[in-house]
Amino acid sequence: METSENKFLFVDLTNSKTWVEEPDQVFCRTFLGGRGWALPYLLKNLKPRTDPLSPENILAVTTSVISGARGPAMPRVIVCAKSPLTGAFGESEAGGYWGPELKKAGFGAVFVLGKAPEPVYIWISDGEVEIKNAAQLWGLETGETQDLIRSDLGESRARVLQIGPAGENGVLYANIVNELAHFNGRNGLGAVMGSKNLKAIVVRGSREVTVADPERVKEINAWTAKEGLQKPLGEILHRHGTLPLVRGFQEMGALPTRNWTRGVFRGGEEISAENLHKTIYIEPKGCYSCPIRCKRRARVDNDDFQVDPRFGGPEYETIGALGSILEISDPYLLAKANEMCNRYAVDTISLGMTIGWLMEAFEKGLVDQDDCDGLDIRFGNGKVLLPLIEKIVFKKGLGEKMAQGSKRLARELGLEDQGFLMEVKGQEVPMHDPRVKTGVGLQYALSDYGADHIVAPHDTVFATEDGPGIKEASALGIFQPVDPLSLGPEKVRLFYYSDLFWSLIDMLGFCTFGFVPRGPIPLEMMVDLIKAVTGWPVSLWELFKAAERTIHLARLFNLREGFTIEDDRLPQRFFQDFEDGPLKGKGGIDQNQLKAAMRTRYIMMGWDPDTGKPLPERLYELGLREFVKDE
Amino acid sequence: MPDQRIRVKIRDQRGMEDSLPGEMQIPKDTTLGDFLETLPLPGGPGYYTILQNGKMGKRRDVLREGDEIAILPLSVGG
Repeated sequence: METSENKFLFVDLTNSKTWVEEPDQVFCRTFLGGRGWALPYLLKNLKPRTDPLSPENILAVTTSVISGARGPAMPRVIVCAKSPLTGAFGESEAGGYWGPELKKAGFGAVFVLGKAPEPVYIWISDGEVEIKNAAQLWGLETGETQDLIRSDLGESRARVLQIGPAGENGVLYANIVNELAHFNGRNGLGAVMGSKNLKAIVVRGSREVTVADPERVKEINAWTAKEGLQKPLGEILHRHGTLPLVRGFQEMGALPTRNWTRGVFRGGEEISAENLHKTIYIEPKGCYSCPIRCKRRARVDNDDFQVDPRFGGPEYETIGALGSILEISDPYLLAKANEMCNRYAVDTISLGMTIGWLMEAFEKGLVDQDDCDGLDIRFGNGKVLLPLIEKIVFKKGLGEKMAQGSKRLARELGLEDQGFLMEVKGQEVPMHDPRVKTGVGLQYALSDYGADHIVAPHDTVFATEDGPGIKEASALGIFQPVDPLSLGPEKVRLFYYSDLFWSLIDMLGFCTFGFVPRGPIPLEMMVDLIKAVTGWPVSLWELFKAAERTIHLARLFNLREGFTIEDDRLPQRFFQDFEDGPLKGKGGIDQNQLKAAMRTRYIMMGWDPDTGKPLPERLYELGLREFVKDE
Repeated sequence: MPDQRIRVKIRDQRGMEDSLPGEMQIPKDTTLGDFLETLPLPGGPGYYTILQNGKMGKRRDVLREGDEIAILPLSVGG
């Protein structure tokens, strides 16, 4: 089916020029969307070793061939660029409403080139594009910016994708937000936007996108709202979002605590889902056309703090990174810290982990109060949290160094080799401990954009015969349970397939919480949904091949940026035992087993096991001949 | 005649309104897997993370008097 909404809009900010290119149907079906659309362009047009914060970096804000249709769990906007945090290919997805709105405005993606001489925002309305002055918006928090833009345009329903002060100030883990509470959170892509003097991209679209079989899409949405929400996966997400993870990990002894030295947090009860719902949360909120509604919103109005629910509420990753990692358990303080990060648009995971690293250095006596602008930066001292957020976002005092992330902070303080830096490829690890889920560790190590928790579904869903991985995702071809702690070939195979699956989800703008094994919608229904929107008779095999292409292209991108097999690694601490809790004595990940597993994975991928480079034959097989060097 | 039943504690951490009782009496020599099958868990036990005395439970293990079974939402798995 021919559609007109997949057009690519190019905006050259240096020269104030815009133009439109329409990718052909073969390209759209071969690469589907998201990083599939971004990577071929970046590989061809971005010079290797480009400074990520220079005008030469390219910001690709993308959707997919299915975005904008009224199906469940498909709201995402996928932003790609060279990451200033990792120096590698950068990618981050966000839910909300912006992605579907771009499609309704007539475009599948926006490629932003160059740098505007003064702050600007891009206004896209039903196919029309305008670059508008944003001098009056520069320096404002996200809430004020959204209000002013909507008022200026006289469009109360304009969708605003923007950066906050963190992106303007070049914080290397600044994020991008739409609707004030949906974040392209990781990889510091907000800093790339800020380096281009681009405050926001605002869209309004009034057309319905072209859908081949709207009745089938409607049926799938109705099934999700009725049957899907009755399934345990849908119901738990709807009722509690991601917060049950806190108690789960605490019980297991794997709640990331005190910069990952411990797995049990004494204040765990205070940050449990139950207590957070009693203290800070109000009704849930959702994304475009999705009945699952898993997002939380926080409201606080007491003598100490006021928290505005417009900015969402802390979810599991934030509660871990600002809470248990730092041993801070006051839910009101955590809600306020989350709101501040969201107003300033900065990634809570990298921010919390950078503070966590500094707290450990402080406690070990490697830095003192004089080094820390007079602050008593020890674990559990909640009084320093809000001042540190201010320092980081506005690069005041020590905040200047902390704004570069934990790896650069450690390097600048001469403390890089102390063994407690928790990052992969420069990106701080999220709140899932690979010592209890080894496949997650494999994916942290291998991920092209640094440690991330949504590169693949986690080990435990495939742990038993009656679990959702085996029972409901059998189309993946995994028919036997795999031990969450193993690192054998079965685990490598499982995560090879899982990586394909979630790469596919990412590139299509699907949400991982929508589909089995992590959400309620069956795989077969997902394929049906893609067929119904596009009209293409796609198969899961074809879709997985598209996903595999992007994994290879991202690998090629990183290789030319100087990354090697040595960068596919885990932080040292994950090879060590827990200091306390039920898992003490279990030991860490076996380094040799991990090394062997990585080697197996390279071979399965068709990569040279000694260099990690994709073999030309593998690239031919994926139809990527144009990207083979030295043919 | 010796008592052929044992007591096990249940900690239902699913956060659902219809929570399970805190303690149950079950026949001696019941395995964890068989016990879980008797519980009204939507979707079946495979949709939850099960801890036996604080550690990941093995379905074939026989339960003993006073064992504590914690039932957590699957989302522990991510």
